[in-house]
Amino acid sequence: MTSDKKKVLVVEDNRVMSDVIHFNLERAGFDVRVCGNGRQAVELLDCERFDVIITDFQMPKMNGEELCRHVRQDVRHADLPILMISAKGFELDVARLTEELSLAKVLSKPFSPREVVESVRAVLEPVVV
Amino acid sequence: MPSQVNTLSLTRRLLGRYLMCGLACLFVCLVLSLTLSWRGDLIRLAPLTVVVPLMILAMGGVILRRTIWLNAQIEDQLRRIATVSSSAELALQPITDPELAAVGWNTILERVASTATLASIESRLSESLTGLKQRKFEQVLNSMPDGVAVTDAQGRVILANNALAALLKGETDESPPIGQCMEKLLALPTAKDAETLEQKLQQTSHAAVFDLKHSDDTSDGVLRVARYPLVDQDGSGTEHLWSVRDVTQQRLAEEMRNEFVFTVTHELRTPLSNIKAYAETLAVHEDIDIEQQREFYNTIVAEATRLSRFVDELLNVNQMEAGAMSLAQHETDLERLLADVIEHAQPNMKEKRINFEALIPAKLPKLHVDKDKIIASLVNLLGNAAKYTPEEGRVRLHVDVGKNQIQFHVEDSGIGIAEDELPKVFEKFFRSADERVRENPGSGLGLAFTHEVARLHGGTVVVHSELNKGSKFTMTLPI
Repeated sequence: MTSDKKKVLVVEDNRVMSDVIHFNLERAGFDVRVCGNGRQAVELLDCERFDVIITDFQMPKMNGEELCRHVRQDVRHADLPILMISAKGFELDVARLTEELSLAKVLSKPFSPREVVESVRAVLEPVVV
Repeated sequence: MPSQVNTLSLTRRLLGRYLMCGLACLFVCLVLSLTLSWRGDLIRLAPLTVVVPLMILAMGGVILRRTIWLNAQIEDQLRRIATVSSSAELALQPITDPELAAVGWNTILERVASTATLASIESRLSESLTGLKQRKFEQVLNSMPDGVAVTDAQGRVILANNALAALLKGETDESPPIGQCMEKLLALPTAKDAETLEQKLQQTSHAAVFDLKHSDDTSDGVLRVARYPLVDQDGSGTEHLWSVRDVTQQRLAEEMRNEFVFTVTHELRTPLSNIKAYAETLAVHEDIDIEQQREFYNTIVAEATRLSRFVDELLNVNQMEAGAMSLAQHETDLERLLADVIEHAQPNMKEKRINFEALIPAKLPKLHVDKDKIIASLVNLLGNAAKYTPEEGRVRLHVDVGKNQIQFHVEDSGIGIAEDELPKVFEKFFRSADERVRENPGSGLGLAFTHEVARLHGGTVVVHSELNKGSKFTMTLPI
């Protein structure tokens, strides 16, 4: 039986940050792909199947919001859970974004890696009553 | 002083003489008639009773004429004045006669004349003063850099200063603003938020202030428009006073500052988040292998260093902004200074595997400079070179000692700077619009700092660059 590891796409332009997220998610038993900007993410989404996306809000070329809109417009990914990491706390209208982009969760920097792992788990393995 | 001053009034004298003549006539008549009635044979002399009195009367008249003449003159002129209309000038003639009355008359005339002259001088003076005041106000209005206009109840311009026409110069219209509708001149109907503006302007009794952007790009021009109701002395009024000011520079400065604050928070939060994430990871996972652990610890150190450098940069910025940057100049050994600079710059070069070479002449003069600031400036130039040069590129530091100046050249084979941006690179907060630059974090203050340091030392910083080929920054200091 092939391992049923869930695949996570991490979109983060800061290498140092994406490395530590990668490390923690892999330790938690997920299969992780990392890319540095929205455009690369779109390309990866086209070739591989993912179970969840974690994206930073602030990135060059295509920021997190734009990426989300793009993803949501694609029928294949309409239900794909997206977690947004933002450092832009004071300007970001969390409620509005969560609703408009159907975000699973918004995490703000600085966050703890444990938070990330738990959020991903919560999204992918909802408690079954 | 006339020789014949007579103190009795003319009228009295007139009467006196007249009476005398009459009496004389009477007397003569009496004598003649008595004589003739006494001597019947002298009846031939009867006509004399008529002729002689007549002669006396005639002589009396001649004598009186002189006396009457003066009165007649005065009475004539007075009668003329009475009949003349009030606004006409009084054509009064002086009377040449030594008589006191004549002298008095002439005095009146002089006084009237001088009063008239005074009155006319006064009115001309006040007219010219009002004119002066008016012209001064006009001069002030037309020298103001802000546009000022007054509109009537229909919103049409009835008064405008020169600046208004200049500020509202439309693409097509060269005609003066007077008579045109103010809202049309401001292109209000086509403005963004035209509705909210309309609402604001509906309230005619309140002041309305708003900014008008020429386009989405602030640098194309932003006007701050204020409209105030113009109230008459009795409290009523349908006119409005408009003030239009070009606030483009202010808005641009505000935007640049906002971007700066934004960048600062990002630049501070990023390393902090990283430090926290790595530290926590190390704390939570007990089974990380030693090599991996060491890497993580090093990352934490590197991020902390980055944070600390950024804080230093912020402090420098604060000094620059306050214009309070001062130099602590001491005799400095250049060799040591350059060694410090290279040590600071090496990590950045190594990280990107950049081919870094330093060409430093053997004999270096001692410089009277602020060591820390010069080091910071050179490190900034080298840091930029490393930042904006792709991996395995080339950066060269070349020191050139001249007769009375020393030059530090920092050359790179990096992304270069576009020609239209070259003059702006030393401006505070300026960051290139080039994507490759924006990808990198930066405050836009490094070069401004370096430039200021050079200037304070009596030197300069210049740049030569070619887009996509590379850049060369040269800092020149006097020896």
